[in-house]
Amino acid sequence: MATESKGTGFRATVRREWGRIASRPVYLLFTLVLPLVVFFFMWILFSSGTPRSLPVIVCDQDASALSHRFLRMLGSAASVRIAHRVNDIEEGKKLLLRREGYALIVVPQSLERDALRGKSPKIVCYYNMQVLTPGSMVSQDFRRTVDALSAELAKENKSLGVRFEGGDAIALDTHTLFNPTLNYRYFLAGALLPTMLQIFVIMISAYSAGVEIRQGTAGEWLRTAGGHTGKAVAGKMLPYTLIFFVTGLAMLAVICSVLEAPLRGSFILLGLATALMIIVYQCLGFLFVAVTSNLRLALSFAAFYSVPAFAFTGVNFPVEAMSFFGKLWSAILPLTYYGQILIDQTVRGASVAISLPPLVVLGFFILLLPLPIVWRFKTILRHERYWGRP
Amino acid sequence: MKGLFRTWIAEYRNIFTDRGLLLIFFGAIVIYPFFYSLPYLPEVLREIPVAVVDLDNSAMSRKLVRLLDSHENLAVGARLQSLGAAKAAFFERKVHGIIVIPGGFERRLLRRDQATVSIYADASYFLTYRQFMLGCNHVVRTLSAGVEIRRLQGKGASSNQAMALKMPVQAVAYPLFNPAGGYATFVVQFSLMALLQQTLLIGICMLAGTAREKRRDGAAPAGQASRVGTILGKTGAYFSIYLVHSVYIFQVVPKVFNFAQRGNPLDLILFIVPFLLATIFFGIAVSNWFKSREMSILAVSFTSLPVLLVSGFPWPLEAMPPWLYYLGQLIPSTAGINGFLMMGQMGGTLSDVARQWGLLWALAAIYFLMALIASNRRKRSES
Repeated sequence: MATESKGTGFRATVRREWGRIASRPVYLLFTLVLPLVVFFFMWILFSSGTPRSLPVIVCDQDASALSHRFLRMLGSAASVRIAHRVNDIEEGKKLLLRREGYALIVVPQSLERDALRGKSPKIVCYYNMQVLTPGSMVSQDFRRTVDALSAELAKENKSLGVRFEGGDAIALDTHTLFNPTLNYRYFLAGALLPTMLQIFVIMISAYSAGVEIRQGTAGEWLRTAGGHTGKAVAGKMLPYTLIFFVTGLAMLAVICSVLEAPLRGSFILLGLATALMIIVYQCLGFLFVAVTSNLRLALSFAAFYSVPAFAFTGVNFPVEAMSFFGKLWSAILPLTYYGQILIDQTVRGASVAISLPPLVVLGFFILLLPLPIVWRFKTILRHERYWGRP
Repeated sequence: MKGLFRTWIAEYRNIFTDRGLLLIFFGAIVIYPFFYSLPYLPEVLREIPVAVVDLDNSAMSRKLVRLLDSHENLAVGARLQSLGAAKAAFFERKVHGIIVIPGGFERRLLRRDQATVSIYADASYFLTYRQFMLGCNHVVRTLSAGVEIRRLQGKGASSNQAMALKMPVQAVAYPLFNPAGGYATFVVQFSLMALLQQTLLIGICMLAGTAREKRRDGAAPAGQASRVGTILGKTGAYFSIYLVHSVYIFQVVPKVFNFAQRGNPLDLILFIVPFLLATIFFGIAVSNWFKSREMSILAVSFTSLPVLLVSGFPWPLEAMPPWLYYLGQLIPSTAGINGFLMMGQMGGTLSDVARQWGLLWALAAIYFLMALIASNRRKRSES
């Protein structure tokens, strides 16, 4: 530091970058404003929690006391609302197709008579599996209702002279670990918010570095850093790291307080992981610029890398079940490791030791990535032939 | 309409001479469906590793473990001595569920008491949770029903009577439209519609940015085309390219990956027309906001996930506040995804998606007017 003249070096680079951030709205827009807007949007979207009153279509061909009893029970099930009653199965299928309901439930003719005679009639549910979540919720509630009805009837039935001694021979005692209310929004929100954060970080990082090459200001940038490439890169990153850390804390606040994901683990660890993830994605944004030495290509690759990441992190579809390529891609996404830490330290309440391996992986990214970045930027920032290309 | 064809041809030239644009307009369209489908090719989640803690170690408990292991959803990965050991394996993500068979399991069943099996399901991963629960429920109920029916038969009931007593009414559930509950079919299909929209928007804004930069550099003006002629000419260029893409996405890609494609091809093409027009007009209308080529990639990248979320497929529309629902209807991909899935996956015809189709035409009309007003403003500000 002592050898640097005033006005150049790491601090000067940081100062220059704050000036750039203040000079154009795009930087604050993409580091702070838009991420907060998106987090707010997700909060609104998921604030209703588990979906309730999903519409179903009912075709009651029996119209008996028993079928009415069944429909009453079904109507009071947690996730179901009887939206349409039809007389004809074909009509019901048409409504199902138009997504007027997630399931068509058909109560067969002579349900009551057959049930009393011990013929074990079947109530049928056609549910829409194209819409995975609501479809499976409705079908689960349907099964539960029929089972409950069945159990009630079995207790009432004395006609056969043999009494059925209550309940199942083997009861299933279910413990739901970590997410006892089965609040589906943890699943989605916990994965989606970090996905959005990494998109913003990688895109604006690639932009902030790439635009200097595109607009030919790379030389000025390097001069401000006193000709030191490492200081130029680090000085440019630091202001964004700080802003994004604030954004990241806001994200954690939304996940934990507003979306009510329980924070059972270490908040400090979570904050550290968030900071590391931000730095890793900043490095990746710079890496794409280093590799392509072209703003537009760097942005295209960064978008390709970050936008579909959600699908590969294993939060919605487990990594073990993926193809080899899926596993490989998942392994090179820092988001995968961050997602593990987030789930472990919030809903799972795992020990710190459990979260250390993914944290170390994030650390490795930060150790390795600057090497190729600085090595390539040494050339790019010094040669005008790289500058100004569209 | 003056200058329509000249603009059309000129726009083709702009597109095919721009390497960066070709990457968005063609490269992404070709590569993305493959890239996005590959991780999900096993489609359905099977053989979830689970830990069994068998504290009974009887013939009956071993039978239960065998049944669990042979269920398609489950694979007994570890047999452990205590719940503590199982939980440790669980935190290390070696197993995704725990089944505990308590001591005295067989004795209770023989004594005609109720026996209990405890399961610990990991609800922090939704799909895993669902498959695990389905598997355990199925196995335990099957075993339980067998025991109950034998008990009733022991009391002198016939097997039919026993069935009727055990289950006065039965539930039968048939999944429709995606019987295997496959994940690729589910995720990939709706993201492809968004892919068409997002790449179109990036490309259109990029071309507008390039044109603007050229004008700023003092290049020759675009010729003497009327405003309507300019908009329609550009639209012709984008539309013709994306119509070909649509055939690729909706006919070729499903064949390659064996996704269901039940829609009538002519209906699908008729449906896609207003979707493409609405997207293109919207793109032309907003393209004036972008002062440089690159800004559009930045702007469109972060909208991709929210755009998917408001379409109501990953997260049901019923759980969405009304204002957000109506806001979502303004995005072409919302009606586009819904209509396309109704036809392609559920086998609907154009008349079944009349509401979505009408909405897309209305959006096309609105965005055309917006594009017209925007170009009017730009002309005035530049002259």
